[in-house]
Amino acid sequence: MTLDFYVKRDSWMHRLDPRVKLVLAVVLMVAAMLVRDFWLNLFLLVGMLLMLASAQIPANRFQWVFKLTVPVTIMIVILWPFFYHSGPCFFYVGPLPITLGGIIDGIAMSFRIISLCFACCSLLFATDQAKIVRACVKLGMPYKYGLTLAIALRYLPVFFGIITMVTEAQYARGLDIPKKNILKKLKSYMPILTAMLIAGLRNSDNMSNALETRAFGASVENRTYYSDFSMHSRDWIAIAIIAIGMAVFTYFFVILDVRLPNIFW
Amino acid sequence: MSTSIENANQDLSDNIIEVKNLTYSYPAYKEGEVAPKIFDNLNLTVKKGEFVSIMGPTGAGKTTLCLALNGIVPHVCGGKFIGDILINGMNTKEVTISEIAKVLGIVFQDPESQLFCMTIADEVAFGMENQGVPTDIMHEKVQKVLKEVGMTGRDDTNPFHLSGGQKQRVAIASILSMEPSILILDEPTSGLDPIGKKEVFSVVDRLKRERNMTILMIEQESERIAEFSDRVILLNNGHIVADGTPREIFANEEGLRECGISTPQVSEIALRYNEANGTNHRFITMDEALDVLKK
Amino acid sequence: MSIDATREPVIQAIDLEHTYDNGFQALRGIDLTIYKGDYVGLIGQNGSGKTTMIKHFNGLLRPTKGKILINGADATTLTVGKIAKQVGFVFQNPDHQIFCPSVREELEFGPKNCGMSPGEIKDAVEDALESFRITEFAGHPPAILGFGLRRKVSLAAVYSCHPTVFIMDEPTVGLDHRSARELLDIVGELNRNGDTIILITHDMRVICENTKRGIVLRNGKLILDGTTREVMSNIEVLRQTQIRPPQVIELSKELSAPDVAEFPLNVDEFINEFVKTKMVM
Repeated sequence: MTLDFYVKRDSWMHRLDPRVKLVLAVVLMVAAMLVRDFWLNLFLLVGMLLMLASAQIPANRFQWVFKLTVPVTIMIVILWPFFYHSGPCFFYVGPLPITLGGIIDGIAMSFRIISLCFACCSLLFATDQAKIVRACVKLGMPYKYGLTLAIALRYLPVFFGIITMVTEAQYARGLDIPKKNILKKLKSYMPILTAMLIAGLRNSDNMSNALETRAFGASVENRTYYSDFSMHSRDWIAIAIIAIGMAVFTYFFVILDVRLPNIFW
Repeated sequence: MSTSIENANQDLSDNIIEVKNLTYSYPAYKEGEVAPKIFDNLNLTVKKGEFVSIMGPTGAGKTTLCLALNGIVPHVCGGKFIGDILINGMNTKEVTISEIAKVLGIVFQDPESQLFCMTIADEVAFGMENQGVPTDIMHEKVQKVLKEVGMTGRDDTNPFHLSGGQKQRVAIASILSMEPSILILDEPTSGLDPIGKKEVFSVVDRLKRERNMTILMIEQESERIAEFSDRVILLNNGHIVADGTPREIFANEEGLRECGISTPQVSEIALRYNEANGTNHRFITMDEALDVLKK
Repeated sequence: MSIDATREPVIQAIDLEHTYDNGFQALRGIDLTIYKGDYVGLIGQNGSGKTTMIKHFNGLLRPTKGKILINGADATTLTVGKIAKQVGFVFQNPDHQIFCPSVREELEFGPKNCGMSPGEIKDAVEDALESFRITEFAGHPPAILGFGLRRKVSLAAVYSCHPTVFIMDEPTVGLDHRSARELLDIVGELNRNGDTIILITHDMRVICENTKRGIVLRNGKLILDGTTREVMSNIEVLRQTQIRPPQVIELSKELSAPDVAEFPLNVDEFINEFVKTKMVM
């Protein structure tokens, strides 16, 4: 279980500078959070899926995002109409009207959730984790923090592996993790946490020796980097497109507050 | 500090490692307690180009010795450090660990915790990055050392996906890229399966033959030690109890048993054969044993 | 190896197959019977299916096809906890198994889970401390002990439940020769007292000098099953699995006639076989 969703291809998106992709991801996330309109949300979601498709990311590599959001989506579509009412009413649940507008808005809300997930992940599908960390450092994050982040991501699957192994080791010692009793269940996680903590401490002790041996900290100013990238014309064009898109969107939908026509009723 | 480095350049001695009267104990756990001595007046010299194996039971001080050679003891660990260690003429107490890292590298026992980067290429380049090597030279060197350890074409692989043997080979590559004159391997094959052990030993063999390096290997596999080493040192309770060629060391069954170390089976056979026939053979390899036994 | 009717089987694998969720078939039809009192050395490269098979023996994995019987009962009818009382599994990394604030509490953990009475628990813990010679460390936290001691503690912790079968995954890795010898002596003692031992190791000398039966797996199949001598003497098959038998066996093969199928397992036997003293006429 890693956070490594990277699919290696040679598409326009893969060739973009990771910093540009980082900016794109942030812009898309903000858009997903701000946009309320049903059609705009649909447009945003479809746009992102088309973007991933054009980046040659196969559907089977991102369909888990849909699977993950299905329970939340269903819950929202069912509950939203209780809180938002607009347009023709279908029936009443007690004093609350269940309206068409409520349902449409609920669907729009669920699109937002899915869009938000995709906005976060789109970066990860088309960019190597190592390059993302490098991009953050180039954008100004101190190298130490970048290294810490990289190490954390590197050891994530190792620690998940430890959870599995320790759980099995505990089962093998006769531990039965109770399903009903919450208190007992929490107590039974103690060995797992202890083992992880100890593993982490031992690991870090060894790692610090390895870091020292490789001259870590020799010279902060003169440090060079193996992985390097620079902005090309395609990256500046992409930045320009994003900027124009943001400007247009802000102008029409925030400043002028243009509303898209309602075709539902 | 600069005086030591100047001396290093002028030093014409054949000895690349000199441990002089080393007495060391780690910091005590509690205030007022006296920590036990790991070493007491230890003396050791290693000549340039030698392949030295160090054997000894757990707790003999083998890893502490490694850490003392590259300066982690005492710079990082603290503790009570008396005596001097000269690495290529540099006194480890007077220079930084990064200075020593230019000359000496250590491959540690645990493959998982010494590969902390996200890709193999980054891992191999890490040491060079810290030393400010230009990017294009780094790219060249990475490919060169990966080829040496047999891990070409896996630049972007996450170490998580590698086997133990592959991980240790990458660890060796990441030290080789810094081009040290001394390579120390601290039980590099402990915990590896037979294929992994074979891979690592074949890299070590290659390094011995093709590179002009001084190599110190800490190992328990006496049969491999007999194959590779010019010299074997037995360490027990922080003291050197024996120091000689593999042939001399493995003939000394008493000494080895005292240290709780296993001899290669062929050496044991040699001893028993000598007992039975009054001869004085000292086999350390199977071929030598066969030569005598076939008659 | 056909089933021996005169001996009591403790673990039986019948046409055992296991395919993981990702489609990888780790076991391709294993038929195997472990008898009471066996001392088995389980050999195979990483990825041969050893760990997968062993996890079926204590219920951590369930067969995708075929059956596992533990002391005659179908393993799928038993919970892992229940099986743990009969089959003890000592993991390769002791730090995954031990977590209590003191060695004594560590040894009490298993018996408590097994439902023993306080009196029985106390006896079991004292017995374990003595058998493994760790009584002086009873009050210490296992985490600060040296690796060899932690290994002993993890073995003692499994022992304290008094299972009759012990499965040990690489118990000598990371131990120096003397500590390994000490541990194996204790394990040998357990076997002499009637317990069944299954030892997974890559160290061929450990197999030759301790076990009585050898089992070799490759690519999810059982390719050798016999006495340790039979198995370790089968150099050709071992070589296909990239396993090298100890030097005495390789030497013996060179010094013996081509039709000889069984070789000495240790230096003593080798000397008796091949080294004649000049005194003997």
